[in-house]
Amino acid sequence: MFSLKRCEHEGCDTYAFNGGRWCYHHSPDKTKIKEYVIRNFVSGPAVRDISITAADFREMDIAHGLKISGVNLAFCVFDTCTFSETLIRSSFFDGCLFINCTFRGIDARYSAFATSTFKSCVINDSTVIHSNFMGIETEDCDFSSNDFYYSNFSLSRLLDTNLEDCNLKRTSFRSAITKNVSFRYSNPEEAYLRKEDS
Amino acid sequence: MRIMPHFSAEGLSNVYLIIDEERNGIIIDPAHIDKELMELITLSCRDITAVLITHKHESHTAGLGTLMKIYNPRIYAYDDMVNGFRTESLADGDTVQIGRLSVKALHVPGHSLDSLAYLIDTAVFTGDTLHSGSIASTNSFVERALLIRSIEEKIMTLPPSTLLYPGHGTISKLGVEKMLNQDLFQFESETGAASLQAFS
Repeated sequence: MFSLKRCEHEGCDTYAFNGGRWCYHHSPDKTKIKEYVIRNFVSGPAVRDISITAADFREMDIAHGLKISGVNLAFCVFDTCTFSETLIRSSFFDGCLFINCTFRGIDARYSAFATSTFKSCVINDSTVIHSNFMGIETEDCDFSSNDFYYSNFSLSRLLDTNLEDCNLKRTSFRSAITKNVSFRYSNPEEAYLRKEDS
Repeated sequence: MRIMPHFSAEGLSNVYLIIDEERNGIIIDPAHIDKELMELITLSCRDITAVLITHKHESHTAGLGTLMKIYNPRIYAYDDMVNGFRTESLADGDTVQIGRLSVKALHVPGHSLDSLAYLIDTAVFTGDTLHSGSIASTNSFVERALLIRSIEEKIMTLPPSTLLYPGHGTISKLGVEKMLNQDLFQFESETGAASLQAFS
């Protein structure tokens, strides 16, 4: 679990990096912190217990089978990053921007991606259960062949996004806006969709 | 501190295992003690020193008896008895030190009269009060108003970066709930602030 100590900068509500004095944004060593995190992402085997918010990560090929747990990566930008066989547990990716990212064969549980934006992203052959996608925006995405059991997509805005051949049992799409979304071979009848929302 | 969520398929409830720096374990809402949870406890901590009950409904307490056969934790709850076990009763605002962790109880009635949320550091465990995107069910409009008022006063006043660990559903942050929790918005728009004043 990342340190729950807050940044000492006046008025900053962000969690400090690794229990230090400052969050990433207010740290005097931003470059060093980012290099450290990228090194961990790329070489593995695990990224645990860190909080780095509003950082940008570009063209990262995340280590195969990387274990990410107890991290806070809220408001980060991931541009052209590849996650393969990644294991994600109890982690926060809220408010992130994912562009041209690929998640293949990942296993994500008890994690939050709420209010994030996914643009031209692929999530395939993955287990993404009990995770929070509330208020996300997607555009031109392929989220097919995944298990989204008990995940929450309420208030999301899904445009040109495929959710084909997915397990949607107990998945919530309450008040979600969908446009050009395909649920082919999936089970939306077992998802939570209020009549007035569909 | 480490927070390890566990999903109980019976009752679809969340059980949380919290571990301090000395590997003392706290269980929040022992919904159902299954093999996976026992393995998690055995691998992660040396003992279960406390059980925190958010409210007495079976889907959050059914595993208490099993847990008490294996460990000898103190039980904390709003009421002084849960499933036949004596508890240390907590009232609104009470703070207890459990191992290295300070735990603050917040009384949030509405779903049930004995509902407590627990604030540990900057993480709030809300049981059946506030869920991500919704609030818990209530039996009447009055109880719903009471629950929303309690949530607004005791929970939503915490900083937006506070981590939310509900009794059902997915984890979140209070900042996200302030933006997107439909039940809180819907109630406001249906009633206006004026009707909530009636309960003050």
